[in-house]
Amino acid sequence: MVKPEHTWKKLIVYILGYFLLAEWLLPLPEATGTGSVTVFMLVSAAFFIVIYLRPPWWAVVGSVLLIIMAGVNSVFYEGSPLQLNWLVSMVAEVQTNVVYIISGQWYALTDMFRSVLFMLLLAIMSYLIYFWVVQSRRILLFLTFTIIYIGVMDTFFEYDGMFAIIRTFVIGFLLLGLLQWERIVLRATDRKAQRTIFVRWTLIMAAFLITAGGVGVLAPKSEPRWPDPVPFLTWGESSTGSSQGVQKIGYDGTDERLGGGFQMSDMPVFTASGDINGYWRGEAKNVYTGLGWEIDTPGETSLEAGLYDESIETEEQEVNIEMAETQEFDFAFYPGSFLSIEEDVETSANAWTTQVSFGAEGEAASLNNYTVAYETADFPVEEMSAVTDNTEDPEEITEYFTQLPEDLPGEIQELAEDLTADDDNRYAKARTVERYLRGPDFSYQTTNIPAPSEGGDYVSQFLFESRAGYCDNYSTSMAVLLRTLDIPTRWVKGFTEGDQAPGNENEIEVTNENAHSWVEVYFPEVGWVPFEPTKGFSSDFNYTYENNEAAEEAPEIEEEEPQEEEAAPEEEEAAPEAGNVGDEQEDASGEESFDWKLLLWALLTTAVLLVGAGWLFRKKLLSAYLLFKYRHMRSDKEFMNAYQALIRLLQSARVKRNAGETLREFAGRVDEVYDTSDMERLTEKYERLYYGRKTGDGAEPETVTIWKRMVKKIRS
Amino acid sequence: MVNEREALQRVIENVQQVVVGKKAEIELSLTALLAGGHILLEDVPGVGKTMMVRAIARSIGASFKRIQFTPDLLPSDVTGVSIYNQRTMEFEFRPGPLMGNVLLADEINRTSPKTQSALLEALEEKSVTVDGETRKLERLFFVMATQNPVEYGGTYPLPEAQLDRFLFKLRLGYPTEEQEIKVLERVEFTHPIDELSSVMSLEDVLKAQELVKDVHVDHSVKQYIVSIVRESRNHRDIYLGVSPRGSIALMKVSQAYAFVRGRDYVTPDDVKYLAPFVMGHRLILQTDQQMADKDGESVVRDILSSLRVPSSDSDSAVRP
Repeated sequence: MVKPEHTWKKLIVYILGYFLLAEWLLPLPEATGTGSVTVFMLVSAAFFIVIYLRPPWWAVVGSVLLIIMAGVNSVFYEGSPLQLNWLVSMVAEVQTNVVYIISGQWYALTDMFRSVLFMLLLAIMSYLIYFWVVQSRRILLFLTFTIIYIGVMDTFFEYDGMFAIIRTFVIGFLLLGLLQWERIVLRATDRKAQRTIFVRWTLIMAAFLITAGGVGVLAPKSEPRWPDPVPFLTWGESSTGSSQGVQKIGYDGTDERLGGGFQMSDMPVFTASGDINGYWRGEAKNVYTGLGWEIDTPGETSLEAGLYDESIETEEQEVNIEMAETQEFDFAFYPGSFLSIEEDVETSANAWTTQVSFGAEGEAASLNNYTVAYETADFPVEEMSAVTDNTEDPEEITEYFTQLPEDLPGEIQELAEDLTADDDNRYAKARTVERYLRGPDFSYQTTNIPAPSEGGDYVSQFLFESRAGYCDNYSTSMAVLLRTLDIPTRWVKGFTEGDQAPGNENEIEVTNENAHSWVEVYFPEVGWVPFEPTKGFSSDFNYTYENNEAAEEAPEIEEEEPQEEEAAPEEEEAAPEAGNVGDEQEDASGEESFDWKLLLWALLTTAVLLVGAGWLFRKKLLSAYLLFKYRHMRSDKEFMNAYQALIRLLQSARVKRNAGETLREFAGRVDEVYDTSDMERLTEKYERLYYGRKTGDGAEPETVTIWKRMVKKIRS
Repeated sequence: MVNEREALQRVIENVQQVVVGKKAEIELSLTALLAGGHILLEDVPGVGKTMMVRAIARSIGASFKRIQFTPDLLPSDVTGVSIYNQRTMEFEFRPGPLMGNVLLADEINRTSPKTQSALLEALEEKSVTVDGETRKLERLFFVMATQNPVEYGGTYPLPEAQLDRFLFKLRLGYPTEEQEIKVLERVEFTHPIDELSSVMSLEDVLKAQELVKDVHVDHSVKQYIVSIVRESRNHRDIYLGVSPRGSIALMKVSQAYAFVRGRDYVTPDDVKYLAPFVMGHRLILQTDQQMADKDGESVVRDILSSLRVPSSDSDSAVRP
């Protein structure tokens, strides 16, 4: 191999290569528990130096061994390396390890020996980088792998790769640029061309790096889909029964651990006939644990399970329910507020959970067919809007329905306060939160949904990290958000209305797919009012205004499919927020100065870019302008102006007229540079016009052609 | 005008048959001829000075005279002398070499200042006064004086004031190897000067001299000339700069040169090209520069290399 010429440029490139290798060493402590990274860095630096000096092969081998021994000594052996007794034990250790290797006992290898092997690997890497950088002048492959490596380290280990990625980006692109430049120089022959190439190349590279890096750092970045995909990945292999792999199918009695995917199943649950009216209630829960919902309300039952205050206008209705064959529930599903069940089985209703159980206390029974009487209500918006604080809430309502876990992340309350900063009453706040959750920040999704790990928070994960989920995510989040504002809420589960049963127009069929959850907010004088925060679902709740009977209700839309396109009124109201999609939660925080600053930076960057581009392409821009301006030269004067403009154009093309140079001399030089005789011909004409004070013949078409040819030549 | 110009080109070609590879010097000589001035040739003997002058004279059908200056040469030997004719009992004027068209004044610095000034006065006045009688010289009168730069022993260097009377100071220099071989080939059998015929009449030369005066000198070019001359008066290497007579000379030769070059207007290139020949011998350098063996021409070139050449209206402040 020919010994390559070592220039300072090569040295710079080589040093940059070392920094790239260093990025591989930095995450090691976090990832593998390797200690003494500094030693490894120093060792590889020593390797780099040795290889750069390119001594004969025996010197390379000798120095590498010496460096490894020095490194091992500094890490594993106490005392001066000059007291050679450590060498003895080292040699002995190496011998044992060689035996281990031969017998395949990999796990038995000692740390010392593993370090030796690792340093050998570093030595090989050093040579490899020397080869890439100095001899083959290519680094993209290594750079790509470095970036992937840092990404993996950042994702799967505690290592924070943010600055590592920035460093790698800058170093890597510098390297790419410098190496590319060297390759261009190899192709360019004459010295002057090499210099221009260097100047141009450096400028372009600097501009690119600065703008790309600046934009990268300043631009808003969307949060990762998951901060840490590891839980998700473990869910994928949750066959061992990991508690994080929660998955839900249909209506499930326990909600202590929410999260995970929601498996669609079209297995029928029941069919209903009669007065069909909105969502089917199963029960309501009041305790949010951070991971799911539980119940701590009194177990006492009574027939009084009314949801609404007496003052509310209600309408009594009846529906008949027939359970599907395999479905056995010991409680009833019913729309609206329960009144009674007319069957010969004892039923009891719990006013707190609103669950209507069959059978006497302690003896659960299930019914296959029952008729429920219930009432539906119109919720008066004015009265709800009149609620501004929680002083009128009954004591037990406040006690049971405003609970929150003590370790609830503070950011949830901050978000709730930010969102409702402009709202002065409970109804408006509830509406705002509902609208926010239905807004463009969140997406409806039933698969690939993470579950919080022990100690995590289900709502926080949804609001700030995943931003994707199904009804449980939305309803729980709304309930918790409102509770941080001391508004009593509860979490209701049941089914959505269902679809028309196949083969029977008067019946509707409810399947597992219809399983749903929503939120109820307590309003004094009104009662429990349902809200539908889940994106893509349309509630059928009647909110009424006294003077306008037209309910602010959404048209019926079939459930279970995200319907972001068919905008319900709520979604339309949310539309103004759509402008700030890229802004994460800042859009809600109302922090406008951030936008302004960003805009300023964007403008500044654009301006710098434009100026830079204009400067880089000034020759092209100027010549295009000149070609247009002097497209026809009708008079001598115009020709003379065009000629002078040509000289200025040459100026910008770095062919400058020297002091004391006559036009003719200059023209001769220009013609030599562009290998033509056009400039001299133009100059002759100009001289005639200017020094000879000749007039009359104007600019002949030929002159114009020559002039244009010259301008184009300068441009290219 | 076209005819005169063509004739001039023929003259140049004609002279080149005798003098190999000295086209620039031939052009300059003709320029001086057309501008009505004279040339001082400073060069070693034997490089073809005489041949060039003779060839020019022959080409334009002019009479050629030659004076070899020696220390004992008297003014009357130059101008002519009245001799008593015993037969007619009258003084008869015997015209000296000054009474020709083209005069070669060889080794002009070898003669006494008295004789030198007699010649130089004639150059300026275009007339000689002998015995109280003023006699006009020929209408076409062109002197090419030579100096030997090598042997200074027993010479009378021309005073600055008199150097001023020559338009140009030129050097011929040695020919290149190829040119010298060509010279040898040419003279192998017959000398080409003997076969030279006239290609331009004296009348045409006189007419051309008139036409030269019509060559346009643009204001910007005049400005350029003046700025060069003025710079010579301020330059730190120069003890004494160029006089207004120098500016006039520069303009006139520029006109003539433009004419030779086939143009009826002067460009700064003409001025820039001629300035060292016109100005070089008109200035006195500082002593240290003289010691450093610098000559006037190189200092003028210094000036030219840094002086902005007017090339557009924005360059020249005032326009008529």
